[in-house]
Amino acid sequence: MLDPDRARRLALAALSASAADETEVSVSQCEEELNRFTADHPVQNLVRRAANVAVRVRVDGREGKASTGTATEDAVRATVRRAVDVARRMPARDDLLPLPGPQQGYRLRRRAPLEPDPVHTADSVARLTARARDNGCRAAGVQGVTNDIRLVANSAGLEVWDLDTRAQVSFSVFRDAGAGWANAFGAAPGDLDVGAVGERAVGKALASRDPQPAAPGEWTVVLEPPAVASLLLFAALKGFGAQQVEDGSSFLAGRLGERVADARISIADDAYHPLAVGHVFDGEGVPRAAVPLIQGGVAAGLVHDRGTALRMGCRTTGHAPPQPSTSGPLPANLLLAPGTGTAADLVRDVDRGILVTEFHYTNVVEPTRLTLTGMTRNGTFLIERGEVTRPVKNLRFTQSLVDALARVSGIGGDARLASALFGGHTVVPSLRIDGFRFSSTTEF
Amino acid sequence: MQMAKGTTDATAWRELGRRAVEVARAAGADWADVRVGRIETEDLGVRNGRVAQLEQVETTGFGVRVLVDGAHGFASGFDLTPEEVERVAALAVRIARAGRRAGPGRLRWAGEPAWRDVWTSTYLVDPFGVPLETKLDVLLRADAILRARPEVTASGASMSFRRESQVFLSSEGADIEQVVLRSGAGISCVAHAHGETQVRSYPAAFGGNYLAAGYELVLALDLVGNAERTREEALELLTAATCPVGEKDVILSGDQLALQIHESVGHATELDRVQGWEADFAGTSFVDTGKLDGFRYGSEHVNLVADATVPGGLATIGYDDDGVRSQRWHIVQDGRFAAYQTSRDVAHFENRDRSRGCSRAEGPWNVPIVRISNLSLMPGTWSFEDLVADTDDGIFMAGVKCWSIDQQRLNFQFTCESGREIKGGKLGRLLRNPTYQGITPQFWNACDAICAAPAWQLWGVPNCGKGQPMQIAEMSHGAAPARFRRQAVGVRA
Repeated sequence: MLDPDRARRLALAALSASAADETEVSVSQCEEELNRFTADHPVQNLVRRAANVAVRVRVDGREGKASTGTATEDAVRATVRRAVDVARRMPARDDLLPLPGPQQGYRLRRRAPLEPDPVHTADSVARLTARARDNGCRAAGVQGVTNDIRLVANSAGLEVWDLDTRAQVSFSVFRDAGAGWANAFGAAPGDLDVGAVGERAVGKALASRDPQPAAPGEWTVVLEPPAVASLLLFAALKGFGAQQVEDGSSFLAGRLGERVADARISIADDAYHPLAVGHVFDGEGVPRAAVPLIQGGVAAGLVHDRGTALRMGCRTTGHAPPQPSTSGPLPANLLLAPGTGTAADLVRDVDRGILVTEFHYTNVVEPTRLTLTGMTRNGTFLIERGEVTRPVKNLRFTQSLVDALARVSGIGGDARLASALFGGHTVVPSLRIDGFRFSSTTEF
Repeated sequence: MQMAKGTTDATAWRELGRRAVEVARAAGADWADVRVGRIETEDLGVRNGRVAQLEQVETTGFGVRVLVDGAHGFASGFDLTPEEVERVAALAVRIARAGRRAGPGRLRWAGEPAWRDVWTSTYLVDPFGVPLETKLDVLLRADAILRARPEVTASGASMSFRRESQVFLSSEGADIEQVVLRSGAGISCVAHAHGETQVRSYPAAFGGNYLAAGYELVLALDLVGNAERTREEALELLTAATCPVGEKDVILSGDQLALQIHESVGHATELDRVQGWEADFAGTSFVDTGKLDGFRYGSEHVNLVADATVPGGLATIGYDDDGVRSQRWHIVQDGRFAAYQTSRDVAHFENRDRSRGCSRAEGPWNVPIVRISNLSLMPGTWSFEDLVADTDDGIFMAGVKCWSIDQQRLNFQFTCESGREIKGGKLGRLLRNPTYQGITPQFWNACDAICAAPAWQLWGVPNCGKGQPMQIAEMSHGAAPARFRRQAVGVRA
């Protein structure tokens, strides 16, 4: 069964069984219900459960780790023995920080788990696909819920657990070479305005029928929140972590305190924003801090784990991945401060530009300028004299995000939780950027 | 040559599996299958002289899949007890029934003999039996060589081993036990100077190369022996010229071609994508079923073969997760599109009554979906030296650095770690951030020369993401260097 008490029993079994100098146990359990549909029927319909118990130990200055997906006390005790065996074979280290003790300042979510309800989900899916059919469109999408328990405890007395829940719907609609998409997240199914998602996706698909080519080059763009999320997630992966600054690959290396973006741009990592998702402590159980990263266009900070904080003479911000790790600390809840108005308001001041619903398969060409490339997707439109006039075929951008953030000419007030193809979550508004470079086109 | 060992747990897993099938059938399932199994992994990583990753993971679980009046239901769990298996099997049937409220059951299941077999992959040296100290010594020595110059700001060396054991049972009577062993290793370093940052990897980016093999792969890669050259190439790239913007002949290395095959042919020919099943996530495909009528995918030199039986392939298995025996077939033959990659529930869209055997899941607790098989570009007749000598104005590009492709798999743009200019048939100056961009069929139709078999090798992709919930799968792509005439290279950012 999925419950915090069982997670605590497993953690206690691990800590009790360990004779190591230091022991940390991390327990995660995930339950996911998802209806994946196309056209007029589900193609995959599931409830999935998985668990993991990870044990990290220190013995005579050596560290080892082992994990099991078998959530029994016997399996956990065997995992402790494996971790100790690994540790004894490791080279001794002089850089191991003592495990963190009890922490203050947790602002835990501790939500009640959602009961998977395939009937409710199926009924909602039926309404979505009917809306698509009624408009002559073909549909695809997912709807479902997730329960996610995480617990970290260690021999220094730290123990923390949380339970986060998430409901999601994502809906893609196609007609006559046009495509539309919309999605929504919430803590529970009741938070989702599924009707609005359906209306928006169908509306985009109908408006983007029979797109015509647009020429590559520099354009003023209005990016809706999911497109902004696609860009910022790579800033999270490549730019805002202290380790990337240490190795010189971040665009912020040597630039803290300098102007790096338009003065209207403020970016923070904030797990406590009302729209944020995920856990509010890091892989070692340290509570996350809200961290200003860019304030008024000036590079203001980085996210840290205890190791980078020690090396750089500051405090950890609670952004360690499960340890040990090669990746270093990473932001988990980027927040781009909103302006006012909506994407439509941003469009009003554009003489000639392009409105982007979403970017697809964004990736990093070069990290020090955060040069990114990716494709538009699911509704790309020409803006002429302040109005969205017609759909255009999809375009590839190749653009430095550093340069783009310096050319922001408008920020919407429509901040929302948005994700991207490779995952992650940000809370971002629409943005208008001048001189955004599209480098090639495609056939649809 | 050894066979990967079977598991002593298989008897208990079969007992649980039979109970799951019984419960599902009694609850009304027309079809039921169950997979019970375990994945064991060992990941070792050294970064900047320190052991930064050292984890052994063992995960067990099971999944029950049913069809009820053509509607799909799947449920999984991690408690291997009769009570939990019965609960999950009944839940799978309830899920399928609930799904019918969202629309009619339309899934059709292609036929396949109910195989009863034990299949294991082969290896020479069991990596889990090699002492950790031995493996770490290799990684630490390679890493030390990478760090021997002050311009190197980050160095890394890693090994990864994975053993998957599984029992598959179906209501048709299939009973398949499989054990697959996979290994991988590699090194990389980041160099930084004068405001420029460059990376070089060996033998490939993203953890190196991977095969269905044992520790013999690590020994053959000789990470220590290749560390100095890798470091020096990274340093040389710091002062290399920027890739020019224009149109040039492009010769791609085998590892870069593996990515090209993966993205522009592999995903494009998954029939579930073509049918729109992936449309809300990874996308669809330009290769609609009308293109089965001899669509010109590439030039006459291009033969792309899917092969789940090739020795060493990461997708080499005895049977897929639908219980379909592994096969070898042409995706593109003499440049013409020939066939898709399919599972039992999409085979009929290709007008076939048998699946190609491409249904795989990331462990028994995930639902099987269509995955790329081992998909390879067949070798040609050229030597690399002759190919360069025959090229007047080109770039040789190697090492995956950045990749992006549109959701129908047409417009792609790839950046490599290293480029080498070719002028008048000779390799010239080094180029950094070499980039090429194209449209899939035009690109493959520009292929006019492929190197011969001695330069052909399998490259492993250990991190292919697809599906919702997203799953990771592994597959290999074999390739020898090949030339593509007049491609758009370089890009202004």
